[in-house]
Amino acid sequence: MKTLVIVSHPDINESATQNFLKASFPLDEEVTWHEVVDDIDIEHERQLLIENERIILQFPLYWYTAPAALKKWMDEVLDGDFIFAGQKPLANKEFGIVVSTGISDKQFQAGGNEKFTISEMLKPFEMTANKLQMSYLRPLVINQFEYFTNEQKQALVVDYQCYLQQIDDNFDGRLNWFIKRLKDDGQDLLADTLLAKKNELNDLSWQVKTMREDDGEG
Amino acid sequence: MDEINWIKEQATKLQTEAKSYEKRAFYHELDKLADELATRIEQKQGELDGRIWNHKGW
Repeated sequence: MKTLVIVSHPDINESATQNFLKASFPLDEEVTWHEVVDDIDIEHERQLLIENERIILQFPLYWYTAPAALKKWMDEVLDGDFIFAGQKPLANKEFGIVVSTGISDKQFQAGGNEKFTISEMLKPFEMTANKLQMSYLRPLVINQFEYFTNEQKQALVVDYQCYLQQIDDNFDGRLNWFIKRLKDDGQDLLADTLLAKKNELNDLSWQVKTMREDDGEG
Repeated sequence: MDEINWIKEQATKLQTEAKSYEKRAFYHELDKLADELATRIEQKQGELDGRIWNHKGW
């Protein structure tokens, strides 16, 4: 799937999170890292949006939204002439968000210091996706990267790559992603063994489902 | 679960041999994925066994 990651950060070279994500970026010509610049070439940006199927905005949280440069990009690139004149050019594409915050995840809930959830905070982006008739993906939220352990960082590398490349956001989709990656790495036997175990799980799931139905548990 | 153990052994070996952080992370997560896959297979197999041996169906 062709994926465009639109990255916005006021000082990207100084950002530990953005540098880590850039180093984790998949070596895949289908996935493009694209930084927002001050002097926006609107037609070029629109062409990139049209060419890609999964569009991801990647940014640090600034006052509970995207940095000003990304808002400017949205205002200028996604204007009415492009979005609503005749065809809907972004309809049926996917819209994702990779957002980093300096706040602990437990604070984003009722009773937490922030009082509201990440999903509530990102509503304007979800509403934008809806207006564009795009499918809104579960956001990838990175809270307090500076306190990540090595274990958490290793998990983030793969979570990030899966977020950009994985087709279905479930366990089966994750298995498929690993199988493809193993094949790309020339680990065919490992890929085939993982596939066989995946098929075993799917067979068992089907048998259990059938028996539940037979037992009247639908 | 011999195949799962083999996947985990290979993941550990390839993690050690990996030359990049990104690749080490991949095989580290493969090891965790194999554990999760084994758990799910065990749970489904357990449920299936339980339903097959349900005395109400005898």
